[in-house]
Amino acid sequence: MHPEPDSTAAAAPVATAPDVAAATAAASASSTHVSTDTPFRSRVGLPPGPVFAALGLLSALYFAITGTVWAVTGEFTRLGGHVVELFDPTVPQWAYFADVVHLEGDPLSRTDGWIVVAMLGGSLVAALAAGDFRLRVPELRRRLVQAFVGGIVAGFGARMAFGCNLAAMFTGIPQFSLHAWVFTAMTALGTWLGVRLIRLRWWQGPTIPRPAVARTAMTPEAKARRLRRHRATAAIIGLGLLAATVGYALTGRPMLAVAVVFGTAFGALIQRGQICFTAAFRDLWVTGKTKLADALVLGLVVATVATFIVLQVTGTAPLTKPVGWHTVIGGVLFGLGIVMAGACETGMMYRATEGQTSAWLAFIGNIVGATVLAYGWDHWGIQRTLVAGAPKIDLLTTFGPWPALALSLAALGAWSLAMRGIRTRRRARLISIEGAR
Amino acid sequence: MSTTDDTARPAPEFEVDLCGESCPYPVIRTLEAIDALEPGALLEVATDCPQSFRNIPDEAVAYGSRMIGEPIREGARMSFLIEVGERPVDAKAARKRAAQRATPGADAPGATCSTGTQGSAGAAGAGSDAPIAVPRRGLRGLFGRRA
Repeated sequence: MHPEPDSTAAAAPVATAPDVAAATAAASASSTHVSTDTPFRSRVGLPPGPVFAALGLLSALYFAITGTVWAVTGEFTRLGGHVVELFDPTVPQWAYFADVVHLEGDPLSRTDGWIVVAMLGGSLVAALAAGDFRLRVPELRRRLVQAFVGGIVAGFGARMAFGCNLAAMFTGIPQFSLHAWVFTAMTALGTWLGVRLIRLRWWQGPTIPRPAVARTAMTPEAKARRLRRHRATAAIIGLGLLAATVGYALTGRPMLAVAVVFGTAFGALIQRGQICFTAAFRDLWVTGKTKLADALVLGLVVATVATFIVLQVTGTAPLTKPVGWHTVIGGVLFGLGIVMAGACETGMMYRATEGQTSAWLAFIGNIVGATVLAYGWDHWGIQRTLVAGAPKIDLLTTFGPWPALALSLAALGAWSLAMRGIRTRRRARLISIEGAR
Repeated sequence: MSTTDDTARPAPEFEVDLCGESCPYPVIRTLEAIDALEPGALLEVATDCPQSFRNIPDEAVAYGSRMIGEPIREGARMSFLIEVGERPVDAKAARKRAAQRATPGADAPGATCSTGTQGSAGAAGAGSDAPIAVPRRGLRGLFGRRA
């Protein structure tokens, strides 16, 4: 948005302080920093605006073909259930698994299972191919604990609300279910609370700039070798996913094939676009940046219109979930948890496949939290006190299809408008910086 | 991202190695490091969080600093050279600063370059001068530990 003028780079080696000043002045004049403060531009990978729009379209298509929505936490609960089942075979009889999320078979026999597996596969392929994979262990070990605890809170909250940033937001809003709107609003609140927490010094830990030390870079040959290795691995995983797709298609299980294809696409797109719902909300509170949130709204508009068309054309009933206090509390907990953990359900999946070990702990935490909720559903009376009697409010039947569409789009417009203050302030800041130069 | 011609790139005076840090700390820490330095200082920030490849330059620039040259990419590690600049001003923050100067002792000690970034303690977002207010010092007295 504010491109620097191009000029030939200064090549003088730097020795003394005045030379540094001169060199940096020349170098900054030739710096090619073009602002990417818009959802439609990215200096690395894919810009989030178009990616969110593509995800919206694909999720509507997935719903059209399979009749289910793109979702992950339901499967996380099943994964947790499978683990506990190893120790206690009566787990499938928990009220949660009887009523809400059925626990039968294994992950690879379900579309939901393959969505999770293929998402991990797809984002791993994307990360490896782009050279983004690196095993990363946080220097501050507290991050691992924070990710785990945050994951538990997020998983617990998501399942209480019947979905995470996917089923109760990105694919919930296009289903015209009121619970998704309430969840989204409450998640925004939760993330705001989360930001207050993570900026406390004892949570964050210290930062001190140290005097620079000369560093030897990896040789270009070694870099190229590593990238080749990673790309070869990516190709193998890609072939594996392709084989699964073809295998299922040829053996009369087309829905699983569809799940593999769509899951892979989702996974690759979220990694290349760095589609993180946590960041979309968190950036609003931390740095006053609306880039990802604007992209999210765009994606929701596309998803809502596309899903509307699917619903109208096929005449199927939309998928509606109960809305009530469980949505409110679950949403706040989810928002808090994803900021504590540093990533949401999509964000931690692609971060995990980028090699970020804190994301692995967030993943495990999510499974634990979801399973805890499943246990507490009847054992602690969660369903009885917070969910029983909660109505399922479907905007399509309440208002009629076209008014429901208009209402949803208007609400998305209102969301975009609500962020206008943040957006213009940031733009003003960027302009004032440009003007001062 | 191309590797930069190193002879054109001035040597940094300070560095912050944020490899291993997960979101959002690379951005937060970069801005805090910028806060701790005087305008004109050269800061090298290294990170391996792909989201920060995209965010750090934008946030550093929005914070009044400027990027020097192109980022250097080694596999999954990217380093940026930042020349610290003056924090951007907006009217609301200027008024807040003026009000604070009227009440001395409201400023926390030790925040040298952070003129006016106190804002309201922990206040997030676009209302204050800096998008990141310097974190509250109070609890550090209780838990105070520096690496």
